[in-house]
Amino acid sequence: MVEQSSDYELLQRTARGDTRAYRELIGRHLVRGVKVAERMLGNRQDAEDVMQETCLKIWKEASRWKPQAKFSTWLYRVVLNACIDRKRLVVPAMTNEMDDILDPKPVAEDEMIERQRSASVRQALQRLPDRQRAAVVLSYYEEMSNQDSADLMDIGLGAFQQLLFRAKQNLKENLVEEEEHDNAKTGS
Amino acid sequence: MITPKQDRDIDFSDMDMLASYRVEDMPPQEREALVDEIVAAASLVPQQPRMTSFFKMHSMTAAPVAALVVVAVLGYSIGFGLTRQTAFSRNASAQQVSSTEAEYFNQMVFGSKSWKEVCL
Repeated sequence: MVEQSSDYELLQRTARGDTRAYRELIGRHLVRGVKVAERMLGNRQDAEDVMQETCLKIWKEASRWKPQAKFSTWLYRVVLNACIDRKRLVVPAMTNEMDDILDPKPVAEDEMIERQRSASVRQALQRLPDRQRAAVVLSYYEEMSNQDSADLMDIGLGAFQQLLFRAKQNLKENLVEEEEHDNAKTGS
Repeated sequence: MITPKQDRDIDFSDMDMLASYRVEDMPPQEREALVDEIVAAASLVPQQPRMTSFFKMHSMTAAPVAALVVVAVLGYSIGFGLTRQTAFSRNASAQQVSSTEAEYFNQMVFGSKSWKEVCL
């Protein structure tokens, strides 16, 4: 049986310019990183761009890494910050809600409703302030504990719980609004 | 054992709509293609050298060393200056003392007249 190298070992080899170790390291975290970024940004293309930037940062700064925190914690922190920076700089792109509607393939009614609900949640989530959205993504979608999420966001546990509470309140309001909006569309 | 789910004091159960927001999994070919792209891009980017990072990471060590060097140089300069000044003052005082002693001697031996007037 081949023993799997730890993230730290791979990072040390990456710091010495070992591209095979680098490939293995980013391959491990890519899918989850892209998912987190997609939920933060609302679309896959920007999420992949953010993940690419993050991975290049790992390559460049590998020798500076100090094992004070888990590598994955640091990585997802960089991803979240890159998403927040990107949100500030880029004008929100049209989400693929239009793609869903203009999809030429015929879809069953149930699936259509499911897609519409998914799009509504995505819109409601995107309307949250950045840090509140990050709290929901980590806590609900990534199923991380409050303590791990707080560590990742570099805030205290109490501050994270407050952030999550406000996020939940706002998200509830946004979801109700989105539902009303959808009902109005389907009713017309 | 406390699971991450149980650890969360705020649950989302009354927002069951959230689960409908699905993010599609990345197909393996797409994932491989993205990894290839990233590795290719990385091979064109230089890595941060270890020495640079050493100084940046240990700036807390470099600062006191620099401060010590400055203090040492200042200390040496001031010390050297004082020594020179002290030596100069000592010579000046010695000269002054010797000159006073000579005058006193002349006064005692030759009175108000200078030794030149007495001898010549």
